[in-house]
Amino acid sequence: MIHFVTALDCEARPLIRRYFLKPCGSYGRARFFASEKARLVVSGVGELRSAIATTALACRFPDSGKIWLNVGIAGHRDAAIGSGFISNRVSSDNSKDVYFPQIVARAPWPGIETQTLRAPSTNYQPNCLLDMEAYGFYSAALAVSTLEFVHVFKVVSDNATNIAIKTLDKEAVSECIAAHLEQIEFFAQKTLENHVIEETSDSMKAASLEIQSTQRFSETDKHWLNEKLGQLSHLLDECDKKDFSNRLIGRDKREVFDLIEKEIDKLSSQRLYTGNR
Amino acid sequence: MATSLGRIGMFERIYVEDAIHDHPRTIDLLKRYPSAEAIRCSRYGEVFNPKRQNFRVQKSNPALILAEKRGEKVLSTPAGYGLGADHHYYFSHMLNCLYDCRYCFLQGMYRSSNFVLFVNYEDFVSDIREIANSHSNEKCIFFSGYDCDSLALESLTGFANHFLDLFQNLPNATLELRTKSVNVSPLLQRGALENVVVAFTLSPDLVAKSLEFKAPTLSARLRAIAKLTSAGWKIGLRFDPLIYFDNCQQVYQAFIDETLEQIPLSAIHSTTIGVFRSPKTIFNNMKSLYPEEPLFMGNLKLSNGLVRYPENVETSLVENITKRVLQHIPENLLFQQK
Repeated sequence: MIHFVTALDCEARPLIRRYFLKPCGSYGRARFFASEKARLVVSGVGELRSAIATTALACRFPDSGKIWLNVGIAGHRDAAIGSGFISNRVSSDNSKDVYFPQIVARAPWPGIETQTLRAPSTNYQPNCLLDMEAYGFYSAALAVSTLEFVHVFKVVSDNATNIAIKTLDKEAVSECIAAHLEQIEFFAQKTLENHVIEETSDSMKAASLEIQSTQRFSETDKHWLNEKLGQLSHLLDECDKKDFSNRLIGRDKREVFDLIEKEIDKLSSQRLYTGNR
Repeated sequence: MATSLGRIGMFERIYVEDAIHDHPRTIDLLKRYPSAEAIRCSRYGEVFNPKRQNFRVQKSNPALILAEKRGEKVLSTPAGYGLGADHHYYFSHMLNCLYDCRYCFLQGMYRSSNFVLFVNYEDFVSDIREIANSHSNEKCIFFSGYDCDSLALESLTGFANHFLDLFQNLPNATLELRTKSVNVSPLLQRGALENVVVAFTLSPDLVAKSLEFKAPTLSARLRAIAKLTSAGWKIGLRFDPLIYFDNCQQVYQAFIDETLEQIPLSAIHSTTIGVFRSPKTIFNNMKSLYPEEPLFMGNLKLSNGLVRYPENVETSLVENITKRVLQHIPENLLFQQK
């Protein structure tokens, strides 16, 4: 699942088409779009709006959002209009802190610093993109993800010889973003391949619920039980999971804990020995 | 070897601390990796220390961070980590390791698996020399390889060559290079030094295959040891951590016999034994990074802040392996790590 954050409608449009995103509500000025593969919020311009919209998207879909991408336009001193960059340093004229996104998949674009400004500027710096959202997006997305899965992708919309702050050509912006869609999707997929999925098997979850429904468990007990059943999900094959789950039903709490502990002790030392991993 | 060199050639990003931007070692490294993106940072901690990063995920494509080591560069070892000298110290020119050993505390201690290389070797050298000179009538051992592998990235760092020059002229000081690397050519290209120990972490083939990812095989390490002993280098054998599993006593005994029969006694500087143990916080970090790892699941207890095997398991493992080791080497060469 990819979560996109854009400032403008014209930045969002190519993504909405690509991922067949449908409108699904709003939060203040922020407007949400969603499909099975992606979600998107159009935040409006500015660091604060971007942060609020990102947080709102995370709250609306708290279960997912494995990769977060801020897609938008930025200024650069001398890069050609339409050039794409991935941010390797995200700074702000509003904060001393700096973020260093960790790029674990090979990015199809060069890396660059993105500096987020409070107001539009033509004071272009060497080797630096100027934008108005990235830092706010990054701060907010990092609250629900990690540095490896939060990225800022920018397309150059203006440079020292093509200053376009007052007259933004929305069609041109959409076209510039659209030209990078294949690469955006490729990068997102490659990055997501590194995501570690931790799941307890269904039979173990069912056993856990049944055991907890018949006896009183403290929060510590529940935490222990869920962690251990998660471990057993890795140690047992599917057939054995069902058998073992059945063995837990109808026992008192202490017996359940003992049985689980002994099974994990036995299986983990076997697994280390056989090298069957 | 091929693996490690291949990976070194693949740095895509090099972070450079402002303070050492013009250091000759920085300039040389940036020249050697012209296709890597150089990214400036004020302090390496800005990149290395933030919360909200994932050691495991970064391990698939780590970056290099070039930094200056500030403050104390050489520290006394914790109690129980000595080799019988009057004073024991450790220092780290690098943080993090090329290899990916599942039992390694680094993965639970650091938030990032990017490599930090402290380029100001000269400051380490100065501190080591000062400490060694302050104990001129006593024996000191300096351990390298606590926070990294001493030799695995030698072609990148030139660390060993630089520090061997120092120890050549410090007769009361011994340097331990702790490693799993078979990249021993920098040592073979120069004469053996009496006061330098190349200490190999060794585990049975089964354990190495199951837990020491990206590290050279046991047989490759034994071949590297053979080359070093032939050239006169002193070898340290580090049977640490010992791992408990079904049938582990027999596996370890066969491994100890196989290993010690291949290495001439005269080449052995010291042997250490230590069981798998970890501070609780570090263990919990490792477990949450690798929830599917059997090593972190069973047969472990929390005791005095350390997660370790139950006492009966630990005692039996240590006693049996100690006995076996002592069939090959004298007692004064064996040290237990607690």
